[in-house]
Amino acid sequence: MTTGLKRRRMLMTLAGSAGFWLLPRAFGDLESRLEQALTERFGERRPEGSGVELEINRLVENGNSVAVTVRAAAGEPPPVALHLFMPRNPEPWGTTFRVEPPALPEFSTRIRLAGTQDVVAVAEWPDGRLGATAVAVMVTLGACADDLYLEF
Amino acid sequence: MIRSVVMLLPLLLAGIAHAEPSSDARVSGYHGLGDELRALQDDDFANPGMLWVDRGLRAWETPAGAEGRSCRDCHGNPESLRGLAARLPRWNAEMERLEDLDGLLRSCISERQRAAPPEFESDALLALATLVAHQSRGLPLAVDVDGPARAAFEAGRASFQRRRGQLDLSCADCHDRYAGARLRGETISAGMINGFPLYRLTWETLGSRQRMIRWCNQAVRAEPFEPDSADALALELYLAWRARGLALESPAIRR
Amino acid sequence: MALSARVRLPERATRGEVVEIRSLVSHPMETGFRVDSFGRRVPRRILVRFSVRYAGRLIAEMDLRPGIAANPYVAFRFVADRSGELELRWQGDDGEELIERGQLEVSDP
Repeated sequence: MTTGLKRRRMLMTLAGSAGFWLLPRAFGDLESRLEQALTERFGERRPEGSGVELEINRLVENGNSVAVTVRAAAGEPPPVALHLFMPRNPEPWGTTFRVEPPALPEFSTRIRLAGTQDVVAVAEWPDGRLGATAVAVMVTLGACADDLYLEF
Repeated sequence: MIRSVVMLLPLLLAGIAHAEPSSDARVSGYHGLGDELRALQDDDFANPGMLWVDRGLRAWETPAGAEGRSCRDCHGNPESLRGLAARLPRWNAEMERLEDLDGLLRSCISERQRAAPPEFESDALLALATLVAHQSRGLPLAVDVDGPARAAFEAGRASFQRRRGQLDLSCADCHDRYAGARLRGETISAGMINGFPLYRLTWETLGSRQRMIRWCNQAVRAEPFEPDSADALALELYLAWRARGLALESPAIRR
Repeated sequence: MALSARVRLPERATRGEVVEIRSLVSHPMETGFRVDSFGRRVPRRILVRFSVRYAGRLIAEMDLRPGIAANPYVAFRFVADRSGELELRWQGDDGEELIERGQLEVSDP
């Protein structure tokens, strides 16, 4: 019992210190990946404010197919494009949906999420202005190590 | 001994939050899905499995083989096969062996159309199989395990209990004893096969019952059965009996 | 597997009505990031473009990347302002293409 508790405490300490080292680096990395993806799409421009809604479940059962709806808030003029970024995916740029009236500035699709991350929707207006919304999405892991069994 | 148990336990039980034995829990895997995936299965437009139903229907109408016959030429509408998939696998007295949906379709194609039967797990075979299974949607699984199929059924039942693979787990270890328990982010399913052929997100495509059995065997690091072998079909028959009474859902969505 | 699509297009609407297009297309969206059991990289094969024309006008155009799920689903809405053809087009990075068409009849309210 006592040994078990000691052991557990030691493991928690280990886990804690591992987290201390890993977390800031992981998030820093995600931030720079997002920055890079934004630069590739928008150059120097960066989102100011929102003006875009992102509908997505905050807890996802399987990252291979996640329903998402991006919708610009009502207002004139409407945006010319809606973008999605998934910074933790191997390729952070998810999609760009360019839209012209009479189409409404919104779309629904299904995306892949390589893991828990902030999914970012960006709306782009004709004058070049950008607005963004981020939603933190947790992706749970399956019971068995799926990646090992690609061909089955 | 104690040491090996201590070493193995975390491996086997890590993440299992509670473990209530639930033998004979006949609950469709549908109830293990979250709202988003249930909605996807229920949406006859957006359910990606319906892509295979569509393609199956096109194949159904297309004449093929030396006989130049389509499925429709013999069977009429696909609806004429309503109920068939719910009764498979079944004993084929002539061949003196079990046949499942894939085997039955392949025999029909080679004998009646005199065409080369599509490979197991090919899109062509999955499309026809999903079309035919879809006709039985809502019907209870009802396989015949008496008479000549009895021996195969008992073999399948024994197979379900047999420990296998490097993880030394039987089907029953997970899908009877720990069905409903949590393993990592997953709820362990009761192993009900009423949704097949189904669209599995892990695969990002549609697969047959036999693909799922192969996948499970791989997951416990066991040698998969030979395709269409007596062992494979016996287990499928037992699994279908185990899910007896559950409504067929093909094409279901599963994680 | 050849491309095949399921589309739900509006066929009739009154002028000014908001109608919806839903689409689902069979495609593996192979990311190019996966490796097979021999450690070989599975080459990328994705759809890269989905576009919709309505009465001759391009009203929506989507760039698809590997982060779009296999068998891509896309839905959006538009205001029915005139009768005309709806044309949905998918283009793959290997040059394959699929087009689905439908006719929308718009009547005055």
